[in-house]
This record gives sequence, structure tokens and C-alpha cells, in this order.
Amino acid sequence: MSNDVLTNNGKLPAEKAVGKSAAMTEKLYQLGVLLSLLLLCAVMTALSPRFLTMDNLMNVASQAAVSAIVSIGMFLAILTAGIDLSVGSVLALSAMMMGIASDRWGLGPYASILVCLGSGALLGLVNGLLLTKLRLPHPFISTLGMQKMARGIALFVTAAAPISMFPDEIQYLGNNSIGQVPVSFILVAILYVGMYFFLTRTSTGRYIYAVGGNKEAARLSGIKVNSILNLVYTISGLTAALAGLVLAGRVNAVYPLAGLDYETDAIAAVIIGGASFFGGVGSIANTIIGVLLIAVLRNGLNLLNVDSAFQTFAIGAVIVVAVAVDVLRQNVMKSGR
Amino acid sequence: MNRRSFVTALMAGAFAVATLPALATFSAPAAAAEKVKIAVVLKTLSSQYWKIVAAGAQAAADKNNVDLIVLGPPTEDAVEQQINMVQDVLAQKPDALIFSPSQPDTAVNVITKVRKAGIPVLLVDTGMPEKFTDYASFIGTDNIAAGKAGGEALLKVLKKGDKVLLLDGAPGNPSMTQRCDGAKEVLEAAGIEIAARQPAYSDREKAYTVTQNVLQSTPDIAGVFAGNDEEALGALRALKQSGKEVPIIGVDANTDNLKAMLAGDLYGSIAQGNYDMGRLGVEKALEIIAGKTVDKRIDSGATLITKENAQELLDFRASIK
Repeated sequence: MSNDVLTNNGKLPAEKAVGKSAAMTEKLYQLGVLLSLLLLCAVMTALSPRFLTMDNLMNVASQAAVSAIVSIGMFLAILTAGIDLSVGSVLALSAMMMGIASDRWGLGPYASILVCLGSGALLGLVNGLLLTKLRLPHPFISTLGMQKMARGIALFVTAAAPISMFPDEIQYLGNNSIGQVPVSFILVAILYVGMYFFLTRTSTGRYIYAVGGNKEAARLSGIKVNSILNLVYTISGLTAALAGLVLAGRVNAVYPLAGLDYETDAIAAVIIGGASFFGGVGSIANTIIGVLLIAVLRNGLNLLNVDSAFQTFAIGAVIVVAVAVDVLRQNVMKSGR
Repeated sequence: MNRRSFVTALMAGAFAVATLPALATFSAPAAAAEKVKIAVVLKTLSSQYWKIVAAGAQAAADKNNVDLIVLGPPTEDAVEQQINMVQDVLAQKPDALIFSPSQPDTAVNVITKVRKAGIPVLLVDTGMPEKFTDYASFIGTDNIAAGKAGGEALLKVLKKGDKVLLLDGAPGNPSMTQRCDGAKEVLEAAGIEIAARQPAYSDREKAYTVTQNVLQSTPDIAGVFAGNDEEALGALRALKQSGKEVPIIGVDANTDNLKAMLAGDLYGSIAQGNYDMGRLGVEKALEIIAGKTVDKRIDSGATLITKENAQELLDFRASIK
């Protein structure tokens, strides 16, 4: 891309001056998050002989997959200084629609999968339009509305009954492995690498950073801010639906309470991964580390037979520490100015 | 982050994953003396009901020198987390799994994997979907019978033509639905009118709201059957607020409810044999491990608790641990 306005992950000229020291602290933070993950793995290894076995690591991979996919959309939303609180409900409704397509309408597996992904993308687009056309003041509100509406419809469409027993094609992503590696995790790897290149190597990707950094400046430099926002929420709906497909395969069932509270885990992963709530700052590569950190924490504490009340507490504590470190980093960046 | 540092990060991660298992093989302690290991995965551990199931299992485990692993997610809604917990205990290679599925349909895949690993599965409290039969035993309350017992208890104090409110669980929760079905059958057969049947999601606050609303449309409610005790307490609060004293029956015999009975506020509750579910789960698992066959369906019983026997049950619970 040859647009001079946007360099260094879409940072605008005003931020260029601090670009270097910012990039340094950014890198340090990234290294820190990765090291925390490795440290956590080392601690779990020391505490439980079961942790560092191939079987268990592949368990963690398959357990992290759904959250990892949901977190992609959440990352994009947070990158644009927004949020998507509807991901868990969109996951559930898209998966329910797939169940209905397959079970009630008698559609084939691939058509049913398309119904799932299409539903998710459509719900995401509605989120975007509520924000850009209806001009609801903040995506917190539009997506909170969608969270409740989508969950309500998901409960309504089958009178809350689950639908189970899907054909192998629908179960493939969530239930199969290649060798020992879960297909779902291979999908996660492909999605993250693809998203990394999309965000850093395409103009659209850089516009997303620009919109997050400073909406007004982005608009003045000719970026169609509303189209970018619509795109971001559509992608978020789509990734939530894809996560629903994986979850449906994993448990061979769809149920209306699927994905309940998944938005909080996704927000936690993105924030632990160092994305800023103020938008424009963050890396998708760190989001996956945030996802894995939470997954390893849960898995390790399960292996150690630790009460789930403490698991919930521990994840909360990790979020607070991560954001505290983030604030420190922001201060360092400011003093560098 | 630029591409180079991304690649570096990936390489660092790959390196860690590659070397840590090697370290692990050095650090793994030699297997401890072979003690029977039984894993228990419940719907949650953050409610009194499930803590009592766990206490029953623990008591039987202590008595028989069994190494017991007990896990459960923070809420009954955390369905996928429960599945993850089953995966995680499977990695610890237990000799048997005692399991209570939050959403039975979703557990078929993971329980199939447990069975493929040759681990016997005993279900407690909640069974698997009908088409899934590859389990050793299902130990639980006959929920229809429990509902009937609740209905009969109400019949003792109601007369023909009285109006009753039924508080159901979350839509799609089979045990709550069966309890309400059982109560409904007995009540209707005796000429009692079911004025309303509403989902209250097994939740005190929701039951409170539902009861308030129903009282608007049907102020002359003469009795309440609640699918669980939390709902019963929610209904009690709403009824007290509008100055009504009507008999309420819940299910589970929670401590709060027993106290409310002793205080004369609450009529009764159907106690499930939840302590026995845990106890029988471990005992039957040991029989299976020893090569014996056990009954495929074991009823853990249901008892009516009222003011007369509430103290007795409280004392029994206080004697646990």
C-alpha cells in the first residue's frame, strides 16, 4: 500500500514521533505476554506430571479453539475502539439455525454450514448498521441489544430444546484430528495467520487500525469509516458463527445456551493480549497468546483438582494484572513523547 | 508487531513446545503406589446440592482408600467448560468416571471418548440421552416420582378446585420438567386446577418475579409446587409480600428451606438422595472395577421433609465433614 498517511500499523502522523519508543514498549509487552504463557506452562509442568503430555496439550488446543475463533472478531471490534458483546449469542443463534436447517428443513451438511455462517455474518452486519446507520452512541449498546435479541431468538426457535446427532461433515471441524492435532486448532492457526496478513498487508486491514486510532483523522484522509465498521462487525459475526460450527462439532449438538458468557472470555483474551480499549493498538498474534493463557490456566487448574471458584478468580486477577501492565506501558509511551 | 518479530515469537513458542516435553520426562516423578483413582465431574460445585453429592462421594472414597478427583464448573450453564473438565480428568487416566451431564446431548461425544479409553462411566443425578446406552449405571432420583410425592404432599392440605402454580426450570431442563409433570399428574387427578406453569430457571430471583406476575392475574393461588428449593424460596417471598400464606413445596431440601420450615414459613420439600448419589457412585464404581456387574438404573430415593423431620436432616448434614 502506498498511502503515506498510514505507516507502522496504521499509525497516523501525529503518533509517528513516538513510533519508535512505542514500538519498543509494544514489543516488550508482547514478549512479556509470551513469557507469561511459557512461565505458566513451566509451573503447570512442575506441578502436574499430566500437563506436558501430547494428549493434554492437544486437549488444550481443542479447548481453546472456540474461544480463539470468537476472539478474532472481538479483537477487530476492540481495535476500532468498539466492542462486540453479542458474540456468544450470535454463536448460539447461528449454530441453532444450522441445526434447524439440517434437522427440520432437511438441508445437506454443506448448505446447513452456509446457513450457520450466513446467519452469523448477517447478525454481525446488523450490529454494524445499528452503529453506523441508526447511529446508536456506542457499540456497547448495539451489541448488548443484539446479545439479548439473538439469545432470545435462539431460545425461542426450538422452544429451548437442543438439536443433536449431526452428519460427519458438520462435526468435522470440531470433532476430528489430523494425526493428534485437532482440526479445530489447525483452523485456528490458518485464521490467525490469515488475519495477521490481512491486517498488516492489505489496505483494508490498515484502515481498520486507522479507524481505531482516530476516527476523525481516518475520515479526513478519505477512509470510508462506516464501511470499515460494518465490515468489522460482519467479520465478528462470521467468526462467532464459525466458532458455533466448531462447538457444534465438538459436542455433536447445538443448544440455545451455547456460548453463554463467551464474550467475557474473548474480551479477557484480547485485553491480556495487549490490545488497547482506546483503539488502534494491538496485535492479533498476541490475542492467540491471551486465549492460550486462559485455556492453559483452566486446564492446569483442572489437572490440579482446583475448585472452579478459584479458576474464575484467577482469570479475573490475570485480567487486572494485564491491564495494569498496559496502563504502565501507556505511561511509558507518554513520557517518551 | 512486524513480521520478523511475529516469526520470532512463533519460533520461540515452537521451541518451547518442542523442548518442554523433554524436560517433563526428566521431571516426571515415578508413579506412586497404585491406588484406585476415581474421577467425579459434576454440573457445578458452587451450590449446596452438589457439595452434598461431592461429600457423599468423598466419604465413600475415604472409607475405601480411593484417590478421588472432584471437578465441576462455576455454574450449571458452563456446558463447554464441563466437557473440558471431562477431557482433563480423562488425561489423568482414572479407573472410573462418575459424571452428571449439564446438557446430556452435548456430552455424548466426550463420554464416547471416555468409553473408548476403556473407562467405565457411572451417571449421577442426570442421565444421558436415551439413544446413549454405553454407561455402567445411572444413579439418580426418579424425578417423576419426586414430583408426584410433592403433589401428594400438597393434596394433604388442598381441596378440590384449588389453584396451584407450578414453577418449572429452564426450558429444556429435563429433570425440572419431569418433576413438574409428576406433580401436575397427581394434582390434576385429584381435581386441583393448574393455574399457571412458568419457567423460573431454577433461580430464586426469577421465581420471585414469576410468582409476583402470576399473583397479578391469579390472586387466589392456593398452593405452589416449585421444581427446586431456590424457586420455592422466591415464591415464598412474593407470596409473603402480598400477605398470603399458602403451602409451598420445593425439591432438594436445601438448608435455607429447612430453616424456613422450622420457622413455619415453608410447608415442605422433597429431599433427593443426593448424598447417596455420591456415595453409591463411588461404591458402585468400585464394584465395577472389581469386575462385578451393577444395576443399570439405581433409584437414590426421594423423601418428603416437613417441619417434623427438618431438624433431623439438618443434624445429619452438620455431621458431614
